[in-house]
Amino acid sequence: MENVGEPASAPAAALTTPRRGKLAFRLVRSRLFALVAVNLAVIALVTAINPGFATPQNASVILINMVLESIVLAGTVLLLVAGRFDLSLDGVAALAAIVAGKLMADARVEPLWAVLVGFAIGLAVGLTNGFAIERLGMNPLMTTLATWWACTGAALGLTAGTSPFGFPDSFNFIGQGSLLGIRLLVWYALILIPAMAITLAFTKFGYHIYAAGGDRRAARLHGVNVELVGIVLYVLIALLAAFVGIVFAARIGSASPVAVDGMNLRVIAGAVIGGASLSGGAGSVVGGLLGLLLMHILSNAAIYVGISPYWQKALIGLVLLLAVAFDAFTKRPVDDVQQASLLRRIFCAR
Amino acid sequence: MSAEQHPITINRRTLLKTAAATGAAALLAEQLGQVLASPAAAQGERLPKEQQIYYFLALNISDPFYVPGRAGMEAAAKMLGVRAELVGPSDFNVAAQVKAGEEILAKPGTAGIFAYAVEFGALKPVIEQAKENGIPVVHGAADWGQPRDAFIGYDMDKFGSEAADVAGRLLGGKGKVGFMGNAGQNVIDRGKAFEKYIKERYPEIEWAGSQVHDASLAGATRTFEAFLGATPDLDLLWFGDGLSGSLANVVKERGGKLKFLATDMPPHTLKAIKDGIFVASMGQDTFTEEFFGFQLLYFAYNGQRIPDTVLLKAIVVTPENVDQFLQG
Repeated sequence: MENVGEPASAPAAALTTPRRGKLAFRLVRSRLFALVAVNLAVIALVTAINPGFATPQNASVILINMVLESIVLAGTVLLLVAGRFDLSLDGVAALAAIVAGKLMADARVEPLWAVLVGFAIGLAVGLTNGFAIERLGMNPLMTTLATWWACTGAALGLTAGTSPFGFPDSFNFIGQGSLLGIRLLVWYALILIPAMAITLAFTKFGYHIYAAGGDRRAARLHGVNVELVGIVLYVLIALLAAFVGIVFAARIGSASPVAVDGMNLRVIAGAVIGGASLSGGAGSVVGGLLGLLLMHILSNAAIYVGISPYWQKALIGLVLLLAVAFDAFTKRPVDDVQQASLLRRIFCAR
Repeated sequence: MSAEQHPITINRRTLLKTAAATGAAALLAEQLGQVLASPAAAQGERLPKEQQIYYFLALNISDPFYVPGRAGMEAAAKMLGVRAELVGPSDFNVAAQVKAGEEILAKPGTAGIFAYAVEFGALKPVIEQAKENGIPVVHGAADWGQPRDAFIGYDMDKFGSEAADVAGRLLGGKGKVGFMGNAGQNVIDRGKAFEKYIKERYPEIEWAGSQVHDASLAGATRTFEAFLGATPDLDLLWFGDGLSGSLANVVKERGGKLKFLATDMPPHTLKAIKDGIFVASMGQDTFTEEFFGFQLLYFAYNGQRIPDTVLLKAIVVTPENVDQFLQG
């Protein structure tokens, strides 16, 4: 009886096995594959402990809660790929939402105008960051930290602790409404995220973003206006932050200076876990989304597993560290891997 | 060798002289700083009334929870003819609160500190220094013990006990309850007391557990929804901090049988009770707390005796009595 599991002949096996192995090895070493595998492993593990975890209802909770951050994440990936970063996003989101909210709740301004003023704040902060960093050569960390501080302080000063609430229904609809049975929040992500992913991957501007983040001098020599790319991206990310702040205010029906605190660091972490390099030139929106998804799954899973709330952050940090380590080991050069320790070889699944 | 490449040379005598001069200057500056920073009270004098400034040293001050308390502080200051200010970070940054406390001590007009401590160990050196400088300290929210001149506020054990009884009444003694709040020590303490009294007094109520959120609205929403997802049969949740009012839409969106017991009385919490979204709120009357707390500080600074402890009782706001608070 012929053994169908064996190759037909030794020479044929010699030709085919390495190719298959190479393909499998490349797949295993792919960052996206690693992230999908880690996400699935966490889901499987948590579901084994609490079967109520893997339900459509909980999937919906996780997605709805990460959907606005995902939009900011996509913009952050573009920024990181261009070798820039922005720490002002939480502040921009809060200030845009509070100004729009106060205009509606206190001054009875029409929602459309209030939202436009909110966007104008995003535009102003983005332009400030962009010109200060790209034209004046100011340090990006300090500049965006300063604008975050200024925006958060202004948001706090404007509210003096009293969050505006009681917005018109037409405004609340942009955060609470649905279209064709799908929440508007999801529609925003379905439109904006692919647009940014396609821009990065398939357009001339996307090529310029990669070029600006790789070697700026070389990019300039190739005719890329590196500074303009930076300004456009700072404006884009600030507008996205303003959008998220306004939509979140509409979702919960009030605006607060601490509405999205911590979002900025979460999206940067998600983007980096997903393959974006802090020094620029590398990264993808899909990878970033998988990184952010992992973070949201972990924080949700901690409650399902029944981990003490006082230990949840530590556990999430540890699992993220393992995920990054797993990813780093699978990305090592092949020669290093072949000579590596048993542990590394296990991680590389060879 | 070019001019830029000359090494800096210094002999041992010059080095020792420089070190001695630097040390003497630092010592002088420290002494001078202490003299300048020491309030008149430490030197046996009292500032004239119009120069006295009383500080409300808190943290997470963007929380709507502080709105009535600040109003109480301002009402007391106006009545007494002195100045009063709310100071501290807008988030749960204990180090920033300590820094704000140190800055208060360095100011010449400081006449009293009304302290809301979350991490008392961190704030204790500031309070000890205040006492050394002759600045009275009154604790609000939770009593951390000495050193202090007085405490006014809520006993967290009693607060949790009252919430347990409210929950027991709302559920008719049967069902499943949980607790959620931020990581502030007083919030954790009231949550533990709530759990203790639910278990002690209501044997037919099942305890679903406690959850801690990160003090942001987005974080509170995430934790709340995940908690409900993990315990779909939850009958009542006590959300034990002032962010509860901002979750009204999320609670409404979710619907179902959950009874949401809020905390404190900012306007949007009252509105959610009025609209039938929340079943009730455990109100801390911070207007009264700060109104009398700042008077205690004023009397202490001006040499009058004050009581050691003033305990306040929680106000349970329900759909039946909410109108009187909305009007107020």
